[in-house]
Amino acid sequence: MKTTFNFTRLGIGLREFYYLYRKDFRTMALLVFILAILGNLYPTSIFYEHIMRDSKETLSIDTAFKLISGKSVTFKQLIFIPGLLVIPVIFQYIKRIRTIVSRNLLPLSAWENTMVPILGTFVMLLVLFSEIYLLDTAIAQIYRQIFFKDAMELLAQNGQLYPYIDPYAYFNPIPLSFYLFSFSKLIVISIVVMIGLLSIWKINFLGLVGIFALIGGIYLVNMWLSVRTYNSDITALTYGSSMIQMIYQLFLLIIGLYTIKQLFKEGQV
Amino acid sequence: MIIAKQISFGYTKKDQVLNSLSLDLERPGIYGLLGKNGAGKTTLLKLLAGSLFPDRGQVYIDNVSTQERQITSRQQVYYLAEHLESPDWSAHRLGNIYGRLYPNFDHTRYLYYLDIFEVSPDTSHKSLSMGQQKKVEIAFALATQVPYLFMDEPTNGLDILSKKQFRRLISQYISEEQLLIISTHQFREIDRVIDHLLIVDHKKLVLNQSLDDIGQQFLFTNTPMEDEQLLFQDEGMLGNYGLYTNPSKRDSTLDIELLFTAIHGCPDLLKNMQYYENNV
Repeated sequence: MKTTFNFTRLGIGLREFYYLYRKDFRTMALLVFILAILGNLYPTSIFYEHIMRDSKETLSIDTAFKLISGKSVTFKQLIFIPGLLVIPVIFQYIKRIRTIVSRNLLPLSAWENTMVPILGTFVMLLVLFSEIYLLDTAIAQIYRQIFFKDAMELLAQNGQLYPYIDPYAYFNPIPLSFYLFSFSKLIVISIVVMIGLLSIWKINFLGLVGIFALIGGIYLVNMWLSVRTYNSDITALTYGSSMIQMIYQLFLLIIGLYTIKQLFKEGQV
Repeated sequence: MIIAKQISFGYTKKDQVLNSLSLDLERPGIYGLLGKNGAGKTTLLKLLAGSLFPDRGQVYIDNVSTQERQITSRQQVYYLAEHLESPDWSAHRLGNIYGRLYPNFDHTRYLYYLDIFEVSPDTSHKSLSMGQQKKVEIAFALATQVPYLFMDEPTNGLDILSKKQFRRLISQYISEEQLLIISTHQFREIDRVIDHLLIVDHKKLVLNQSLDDIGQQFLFTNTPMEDEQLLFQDEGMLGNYGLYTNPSKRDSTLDIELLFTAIHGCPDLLKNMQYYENNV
């Protein structure tokens, strides 16, 4: 297959992707919404206790400290939930191309077949992350409205005139950098999953071993380049400049996409 | 034009399905591809369509190797699989999305074919019966109007009336520029629509002839002949059917079943004939 790329065909591929997986996508969006609500309403949670509490009772000092320190782990982990959608969707998409003859023979080039799941996944993650961000912002605002004043007063009474409010506290939405980090990790995972699946379908064990050796090497270089601190509050210099890191990440992305394209190229069903 | 040059293929290294098979289809038309179970009909169709690549040899469509998987080449080919392959979309959506990938796809015709098959274009695939789903796929395949159309057991799952409609559509709407290969076990369903016959046997293509040429070479009759040489005889309900040589070019009704049985009963039957494919 020649390395042709056509935006009309890419658009058709994306429409196919959307109509194939829109139900999974809607289910995931609903699941995210339900988990976001449950994550704040489970028994023993701050909001649950607030609803169940006698109206005359005031906030406890423990709850006040809890409110300004980190959020419950469940809500932070919600950001990784879209990953549960990405992997099965990519699996199904590649399975379709690698097992269904008429799909395999559709006039879509290897580059188009490569870009469709990556872009499709990108858009799905973007929408789901936006949903999580909006929910998180709204919930943080609710916490502020209900608890902020009482908590600050209570903390002041206990000698905390200028309490440190954690960036991951209930009163703040989760920082955007955390979304960016998760987003980039999920995209990298998508690419690795695609490469792995395509290699398995080719029943090329040695190729797969080679790819995983390459991934291992990439992670070693990543570790070498990454920021090393023992405390998240301390900024430390990295082993490479940020420009080198960006070029390196771009290089990895291109290598990843090119590998997928090559694996698609020889696809027989 | 489809050319297969000495192609060999096996799903495992030990077990070859096709061995040094050559094929040259220059003329458009409707070809019937016959063979026993496991003879390699589906494999051959997949190799011609470019879904599989031969272990040895090459397949060319309009002088371009199928292994190149060029977009322009794949826009010229459509493969209708034996098993249902469409996603759970309505026929309408199927045409709107996949149809746009084929330059000659005619949506109006597609809806017309669906109408003939009495299938609602707005019903989702899963809500249709198996036969109706098959009809959607047949309608789509015909509406692509590709020059090279391959159909693997297209009438499987169709009721008697639908099989008749299928034959009618094939006869009426396959244009003179198109080349259609129908692989089937149901001889009687296609004998009136095909104009060429391909037979795969023992990993090779043993026959590739137009029905006219076959009629010129063989005489099919249940009346004993004296002047013609009896090549094969088979018991039928109306007596013994015989396959004779036809030196005086007499007219007879082609009996594909008898010819097929004869080729399997006497593997050497075609070897002395000028059109035995492996002599080419």
